[in-house]
Amino acid sequence: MRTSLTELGRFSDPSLLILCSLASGPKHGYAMIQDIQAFSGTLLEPGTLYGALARLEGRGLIEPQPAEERRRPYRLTAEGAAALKEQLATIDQIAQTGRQRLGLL
Amino acid sequence: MKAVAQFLLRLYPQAWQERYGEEMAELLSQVPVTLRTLADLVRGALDAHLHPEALPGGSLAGKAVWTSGAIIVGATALFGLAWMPLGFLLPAEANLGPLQWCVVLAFLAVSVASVPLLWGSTWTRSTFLLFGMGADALLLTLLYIAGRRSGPGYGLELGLLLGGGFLGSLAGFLIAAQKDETQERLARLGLVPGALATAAMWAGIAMTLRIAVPADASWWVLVCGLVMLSAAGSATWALRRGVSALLRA
Repeated sequence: MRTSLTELGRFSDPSLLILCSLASGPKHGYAMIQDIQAFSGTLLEPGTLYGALARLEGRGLIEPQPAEERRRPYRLTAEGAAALKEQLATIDQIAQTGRQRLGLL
Repeated sequence: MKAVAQFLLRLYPQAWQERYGEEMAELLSQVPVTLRTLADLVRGALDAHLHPEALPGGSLAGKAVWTSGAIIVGATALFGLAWMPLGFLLPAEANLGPLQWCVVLAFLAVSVASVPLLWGSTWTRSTFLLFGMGADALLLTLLYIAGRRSGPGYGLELGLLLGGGFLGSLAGFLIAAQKDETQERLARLGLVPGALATAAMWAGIAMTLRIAVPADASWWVLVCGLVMLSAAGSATWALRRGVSALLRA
């Protein structure tokens, strides 16, 4: 059964940002925080970041890579990519509906 | 600030620290640490304790089942202690009879409902047994003393109430100590008193608030109502969490 990000409760939004960040390649915690802030303007705090990382790892959506000194990069799995595509499709649909109803399309 | 943040990492569960502690410590050495960061770490640590299943390879069963049971016992005790002063605080004409029965039912039902949670893991069962009986004994003693001090008549009712609650808990814990093949079936049956327990607690609160409506009621009555509300909420949450752990185990 495919995991939906909405199952993650308050970690669903940070999880979406993390999956988006890892879609461009493996990153460790600090690189993820910087990347997410750059593309979304959201500053993820360490406690929230690792709460979301643990849940994503537990569901097999991301996987840890070998540690580099004290840093450990994470990469997106095939399941993670599928979950991200599904979530982005939903967001696209919502955005399109909103634009139509506002007369922007 | 960074030293405080590093210290707060110790609030995380041991298993969490072993898995993510070093990475988080490294990250904290790189990012600017603000009060928001510290609050986020505290919240994250609390979340890690409440949701051990979030850790890869972690499970709700075991410690989480035990803590759920402990929270239920604690919440029940809190519920009883908040109820206790109502006899002094409410107007003399207030009829406490139905409320007392509600509390009796809540005590008994919560006690029985906590029994299935003892099956999470065998090594914690004896600890829970001691904890539960100890908490019940303490509650009984405190409430008995309060009953004696409240004067003739009322003390007897309190004694009956607390005796019922205590014996119910004791019976529950003794049943739990008997380990045999019917445990799983009993655990499922425990869901029924669980539902009754939460219903009784919420009914007790509703009645308390209804009785407290008169304008001359002390604001302490509302405080008691809020404490009972919190206790019932905690018990409801812990029951759901414990049952969820049992079903996943």
